[in-house]
Amino acid sequence: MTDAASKPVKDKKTGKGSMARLMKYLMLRKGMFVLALIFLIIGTASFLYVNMLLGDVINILSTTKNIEEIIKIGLTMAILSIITLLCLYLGFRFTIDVTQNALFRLRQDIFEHMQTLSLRFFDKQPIGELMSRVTNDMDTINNLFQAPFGLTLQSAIMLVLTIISLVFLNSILAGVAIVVIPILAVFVAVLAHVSGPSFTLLQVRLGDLNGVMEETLEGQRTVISNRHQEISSEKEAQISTDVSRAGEKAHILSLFITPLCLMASFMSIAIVAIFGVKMLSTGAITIGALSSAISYCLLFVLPLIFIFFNYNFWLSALVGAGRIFDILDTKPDVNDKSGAKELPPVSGHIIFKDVNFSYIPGRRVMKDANFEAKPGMKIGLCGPTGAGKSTIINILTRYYDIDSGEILVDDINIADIQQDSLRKQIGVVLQEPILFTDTVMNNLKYARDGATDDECIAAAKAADCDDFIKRLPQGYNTVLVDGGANLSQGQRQLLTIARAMIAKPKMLILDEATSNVDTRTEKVIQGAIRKLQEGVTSFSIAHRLSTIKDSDKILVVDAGEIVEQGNHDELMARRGLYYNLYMSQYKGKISEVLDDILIINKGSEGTP
Amino acid sequence: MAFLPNLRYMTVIYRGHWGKIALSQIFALLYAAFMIFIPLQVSHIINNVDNMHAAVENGVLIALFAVLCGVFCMANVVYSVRIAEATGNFVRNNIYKRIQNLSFANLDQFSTGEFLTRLTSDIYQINIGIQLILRALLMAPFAIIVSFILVGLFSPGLLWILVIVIVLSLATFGYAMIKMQKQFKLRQESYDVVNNTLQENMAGIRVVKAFVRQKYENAKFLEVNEDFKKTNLAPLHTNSFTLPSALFVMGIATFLLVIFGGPAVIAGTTKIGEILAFFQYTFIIVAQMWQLSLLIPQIVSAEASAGRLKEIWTTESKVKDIASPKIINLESVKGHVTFENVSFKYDKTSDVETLKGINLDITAGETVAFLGSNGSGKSSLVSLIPRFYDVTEGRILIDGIDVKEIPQDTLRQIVGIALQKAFLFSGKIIDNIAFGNPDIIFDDAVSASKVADADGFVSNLPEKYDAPVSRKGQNFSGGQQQRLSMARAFTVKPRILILDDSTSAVDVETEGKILTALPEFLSGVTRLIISSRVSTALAADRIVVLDKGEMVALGTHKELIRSSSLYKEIFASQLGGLRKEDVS
Repeated sequence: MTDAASKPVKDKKTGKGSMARLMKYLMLRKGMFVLALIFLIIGTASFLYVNMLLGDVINILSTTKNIEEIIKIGLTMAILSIITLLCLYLGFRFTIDVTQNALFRLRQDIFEHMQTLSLRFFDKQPIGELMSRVTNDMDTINNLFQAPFGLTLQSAIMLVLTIISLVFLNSILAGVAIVVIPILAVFVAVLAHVSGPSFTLLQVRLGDLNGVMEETLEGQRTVISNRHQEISSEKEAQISTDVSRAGEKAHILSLFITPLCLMASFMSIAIVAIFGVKMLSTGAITIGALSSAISYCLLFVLPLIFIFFNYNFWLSALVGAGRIFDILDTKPDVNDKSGAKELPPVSGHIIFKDVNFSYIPGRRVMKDANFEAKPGMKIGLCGPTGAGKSTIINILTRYYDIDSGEILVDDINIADIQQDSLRKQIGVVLQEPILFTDTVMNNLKYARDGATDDECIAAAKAADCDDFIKRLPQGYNTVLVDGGANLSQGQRQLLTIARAMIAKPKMLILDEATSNVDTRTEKVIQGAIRKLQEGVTSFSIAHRLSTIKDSDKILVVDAGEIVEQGNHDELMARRGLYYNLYMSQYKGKISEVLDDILIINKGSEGTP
Repeated sequence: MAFLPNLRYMTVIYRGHWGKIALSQIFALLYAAFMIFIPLQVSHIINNVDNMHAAVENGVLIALFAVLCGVFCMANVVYSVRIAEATGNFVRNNIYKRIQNLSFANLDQFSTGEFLTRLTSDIYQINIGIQLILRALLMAPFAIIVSFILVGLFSPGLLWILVIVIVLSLATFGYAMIKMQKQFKLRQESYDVVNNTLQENMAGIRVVKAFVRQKYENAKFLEVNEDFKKTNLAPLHTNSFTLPSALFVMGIATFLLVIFGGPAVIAGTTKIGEILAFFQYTFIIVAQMWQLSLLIPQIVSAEASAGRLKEIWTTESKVKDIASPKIINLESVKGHVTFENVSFKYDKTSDVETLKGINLDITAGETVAFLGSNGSGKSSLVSLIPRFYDVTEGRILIDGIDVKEIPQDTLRQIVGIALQKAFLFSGKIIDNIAFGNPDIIFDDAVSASKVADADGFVSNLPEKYDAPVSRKGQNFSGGQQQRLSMARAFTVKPRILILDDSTSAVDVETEGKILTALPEFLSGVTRLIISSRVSTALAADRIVVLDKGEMVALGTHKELIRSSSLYKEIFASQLGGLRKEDVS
């Protein structure tokens, strides 16, 4: 069950399983749930009893006309009304508490579970899509748990109690009144049967429309530059009309339930009235019982309408829950072996032995990789786009496990140790700096549990951040919004370098860390990176060869293979792939620019 | 203050429905009328229990009313839903069309997400809002008033009880409605915090794992999750109070009815059947008031949605064709581009000048590279040529004609561009390549993709040019997306080609191949290449160096290396360090 993301919508069979699992979450507050049900039953019963008493009043009015008796019943009604208010309020309130607690727990569980999942899970789809799936699915459950859940419960109780009351009044009359219920039930079933799929169709159509609109609008600038506006309007209009048609059908069908229920209820009033009068003449019932029965006929419509309208909430909630549970059932791909030990503090001696790796089985992205990085060495990685340079981060940190071979850190196979203990000793600086919505200080402290303010400030100074942090409105206590939108790209990158320093790693991975900044900022960042690299075994993935030129060892990767390794001078002398890559930067104008370069080199030799 | 001005604006836009709207309301009133007359018939039966014949007659009448009530209700539903759907569809199509006609400057004001919310949930809101208005806004008050009048006619002495019922319902439902609106607002804020936390966590999952901070993240989420639970409970607790209070009002009404109606019956001023009818009218009134209390918030939010839609509806494109644009013969365009003292601000009211006093003359067929850091204005500069934005000051001329005088549609046939962010659409590869020139013959598209070095990987796919492209081109790597996007720009066969940093994810070797193959495919075409890589700029005839919106240097490499310190600095940093022995 590792492929939750691409699963189609669940069928009814698993819908039942989802219900049972949702039930487990509701049962976290079992006592309160039972209490809620009891309150709902008492409240509904006392409301219905008021109507029963009205019958008694009518009986008294048509026979003894005992005013004292009537007043007494009237007061009972008042008390019952208050009981109705209190019990139903508490019943609904407790139901809400139970459902919201379940939702809270479920939300926490899914979040915590996702923290344990490996990157394969997250890399399968754009984060935005995963995110909207999780929120949408949680929303469908929330929509059910807000009011519909309690209303459905209470409606069911009301329906049953109304029928019981009718039977209690007079079983023959009840039988007559209830005759419409099977007819109605058939109507409701048919409607639910037709409107269910028509809502599904509407959802599918809406999904199509959203997909087309989102894609087009996201690429609107491309649409404009290619003069595609009219075509895209036409395409939208077509699908939009389909949506509208599907919406019409679904809504009309589902709204027909109200007139149908009204008709049924009024019909039953007519039938009960005629039968009742006949029975009255034979003395089989009292006039009070008849009038109560008529009122009950009016009262059973409401719960039926409620149940029907909430039916869709149940359906979508169960589908949503099914998909949430799929994620909860997803097992992490990368697991610690049983009895895996912590990695002791290492010196950063890394060996790759015949490492093979593929993201998708059968499509190898790393073939028989062999190399050694001695403690403190600077390793550069380069090669054509898509050759597999970034893969090294994913496997050295065990974001993914390799297919075969060994990766040794200080002669310990990383497959045999706890992942977390390995990652604690590896620093990572990515192309896109990732910061959290929190204060600058907390963002720095993120690197290590228990890092002190002084340590963070020292690191910020070392990484050239201190100056600009101090200029922020609240200095180190300034809250970074939207991943640091209030900072420049270069400043954000410097912060992530300071953060990496605080973690004091023995190994470091720099993934195109300066690719999005200009030359001057790049120099500042390179300075900070150099400090970070001191005494640390580091891997830099190059976006431009100049950034890894000074590495102790450069690995040239092509189609998943390490085709050359050595330092810049050695590789240039080899006249191999590295040399070709390096020379292609000059666009065949090497003869024109060589003299300029030589002059520049001379100049920089002169200035220490 | 006008009543629901924005929603009315939307229905006014959709003219031609007034007849149907009127009809829907007639159906609604008939439906209400038949519903209301039923309790009256019931009271006749109860009042005349001894008359079997009358009972049957009245019973049949009730059944007839029941059917009519149901039929008219259905007719109202059909009309209401149809009008609402038609309006929603019409508004959506037109808003979408409006968006299609907006310029880049307008697009910068809205995010894709904002557009989508308007086209989906706001449309849904007005759809439901209009539907509810047609179904209940007239019908419910009508039912309440008629019930009230009927009770007044047959038991005027008990009418004050209904007044209490109405006042109590108004007070409780109104209170709950207003309170919930406020609580929902707070709830929404806290919900956004939950989602943002989730979003950040997922986007930063590599960092979370790298620093082993899962526990910290769990604790952080627990905090916002608990806060959301609390704020989410508030409106729901208020809501828990509405249905019970509706039933409570009914109960209290019954209590008053018994206490005061009982003696009236004994005194002979009221009949027994009327007591029952009274009870049923109370039920109708409370039910309709409760329904209104549920509808009003939805109608209010539909009005808000209509307001947001109106905002787009009334947005004018910031780039417009002039009244009588010049007719240009595409064949005769040479591609000579002139910038005359061009200044540009993204926001006219701000002091920030993105481009300042640019003067530049690019001869037809020349290749010019634009070099500069992020934010130097190089992308902005070229986006003025196809009028993605209009210049704030100065002029841009193509073959001596101001671009503002050329129809945008023609202009964008003259100027082809591969944007910084390569964007592919779901469909087939060939559709993406031919996106800007759907009439192109297949072989030409293939040649274009050969030039863009895309033919190699496309040919390796099982379906080749018919291979599927998934949403936003996700099944291709960044470099492949860029190459397909360039092939698309080449296919347009423009007279002026702009490559806006479109090789940033392509390695230098491949980039070299593309730039070398280009002149042959698009011979005589003016090429403007934007890059932050000096290496890319070396392929050009002349190089423009931009810094903070100003053109600081212009010339060949040979000239710049001597005259421009900025150029020299960039060059040394990126391409310096080559030694003599590396070349020999």
